[in-house]
Amino acid sequence: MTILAGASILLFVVWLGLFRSAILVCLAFLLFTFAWRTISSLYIDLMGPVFSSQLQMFIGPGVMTVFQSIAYFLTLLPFLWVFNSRALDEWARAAPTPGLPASQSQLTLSDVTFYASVLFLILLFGALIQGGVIPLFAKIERWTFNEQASFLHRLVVERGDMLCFWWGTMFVAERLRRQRYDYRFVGLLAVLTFYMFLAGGRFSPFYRYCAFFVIPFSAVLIVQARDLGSASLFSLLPRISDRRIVLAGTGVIVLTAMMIAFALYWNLTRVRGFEGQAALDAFVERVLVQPSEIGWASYQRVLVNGDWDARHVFDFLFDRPIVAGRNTTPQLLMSETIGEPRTTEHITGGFQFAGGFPEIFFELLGPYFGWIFLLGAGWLTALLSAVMIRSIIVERYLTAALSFYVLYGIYVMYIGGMLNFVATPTYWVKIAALFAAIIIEERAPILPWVLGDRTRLFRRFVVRRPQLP
Amino acid sequence: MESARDLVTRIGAVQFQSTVLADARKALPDSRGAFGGASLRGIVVGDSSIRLEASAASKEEAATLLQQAVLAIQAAHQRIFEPRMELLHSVRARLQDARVLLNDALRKSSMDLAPARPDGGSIGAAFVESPGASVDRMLNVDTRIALLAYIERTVKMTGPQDGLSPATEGPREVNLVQRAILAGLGILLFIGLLTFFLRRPARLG
Repeated sequence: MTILAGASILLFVVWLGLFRSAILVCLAFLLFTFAWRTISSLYIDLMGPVFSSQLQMFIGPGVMTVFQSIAYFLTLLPFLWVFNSRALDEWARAAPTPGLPASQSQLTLSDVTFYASVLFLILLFGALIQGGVIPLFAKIERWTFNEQASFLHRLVVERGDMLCFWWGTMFVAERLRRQRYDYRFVGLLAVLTFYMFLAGGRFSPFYRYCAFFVIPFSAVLIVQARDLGSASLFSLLPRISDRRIVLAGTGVIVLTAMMIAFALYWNLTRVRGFEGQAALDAFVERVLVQPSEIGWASYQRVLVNGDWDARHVFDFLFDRPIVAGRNTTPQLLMSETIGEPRTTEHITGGFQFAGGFPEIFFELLGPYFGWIFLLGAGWLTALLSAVMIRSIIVERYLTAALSFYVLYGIYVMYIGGMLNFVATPTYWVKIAALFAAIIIEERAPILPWVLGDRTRLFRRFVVRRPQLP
Repeated sequence: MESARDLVTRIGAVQFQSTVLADARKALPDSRGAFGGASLRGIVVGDSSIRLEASAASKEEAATLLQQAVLAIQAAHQRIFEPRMELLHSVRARLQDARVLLNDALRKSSMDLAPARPDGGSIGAAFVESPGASVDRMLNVDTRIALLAYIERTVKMTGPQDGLSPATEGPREVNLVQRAILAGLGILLFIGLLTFFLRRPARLG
């Protein structure tokens, strides 16, 4: 049963990749986590009991994978409905006419984004060098560096995901408008990931930045699948790939994989001081045990023992967590599993365990009602993703950015189980802003693709120059 | 954390009162007929301090009642603050002072008067005679220092929380069914709006 459930979800992901590529790319960020956690759950369920050094207990075996896989299916199924072929075809027909003659004299949104980003990256690297501490060489943990890092570094940590999504959007915009791949943005992404490599990133920033950069590419797949009849990857490949993009894509993937491998090795052996077999054990535990260990404890508590107290969970999550203003779900799950003192120690030290979804739904809503809300959340995610991707296709960039902003809270829910984001007023302001943007941009885009004419701007500059004192 | 108001509410609870009275009867060597009409109450003095008042037929009974009340508060705080040992020690130290003072008072069969600070603030555990009521005895159980220490730590850990405290105590009364229905309706409304906008033609501006 466990193997069947786990294999089903993994095969479903493969099927999405082959026959619903637009959905796979749109869900790149979540699907990777879902697949990873499924493998981790399978390992715990089948190989258990395995020792968890963080929980200080043995976990597994069990049938957690079954419940988890059903939850993932409920999350993914609405995408098949929302991203149906008729809707995709309609969106694709609303795309700007391909093959428009490219005008080099135009100053576009992507040009401005590129120049501003280059300036930002120069300042970012400047701040890193000026600070005198490069975590990779100083052999310090990233969270230690984050505490003393510059304002720009903290901005990257907090808003880097949004930045990469915007770069990905501009990359796609060039493709849709000018039928060319804008490699400037691939370069920006490479530079930023290299910065995170220097700043002590191991895996998470590379995965997040690449995933958020790739998500807008779903729009290209949808537009290229127009009139194809079948949206399978095989029929799409000839339309989207040329030699340069294949080389660039392969290069980025290989370099990122090498950076991740080195960063993990360096962190475990040089920063944390593991040696030989201990380093390997730590790696295996991080990859196969830790993603689902807190989920297993929760599954055992709620779904096996029927031990759940909605009132307590609600109170903890929304009213009185250990640390408010952060994701309160890991705090609850950790507190229930390892006790409040150790949880407080970890959380105030800026460390939390992985996981949280879907277990928090069962902790809060019990073993029966949790499923309904899981489906509701999946539906909402699919619709927001659809609004985001369609907005990119029809060049409503502000709507796309705000959709992503709203969606981001939901992404965090799927990754870390966060629910308290809905209790913050700013989230509702974002939602209101999104609807306002949707309504306004139906008439005219607030952020147009072409911002001005370079020649005209230059002429104006030349004319005004002599008037300057 | 338990605020002064919460603590006073706790003291006023029937269960707390009956427990303290039962303990006080056990503590008094000859408790036959004792504590008839005795009462105990807490008054909020400030955000983090309370005054504990006992009313009984004799000084000895009032002091015993106060002593047992302090013990009961101490036990409750132990349960609340158990995970935060540092804080528990702090609260316990302040209550210990109050107990020592009460023990002395009982042993000497006399009530020491403790001067209040000119600014009206509390000066620590003090046992003062209530003016105009010979059988009423008051005890200022000063938890100010302990609670302040706790508040500081809470703020540092959690940032602004609108005065709410970590879930170390029982949850507050919330209608969960109502919240769940509201959340469900909210999701449906959101889904409905997004579906509506998605179904509109995706024409270019």
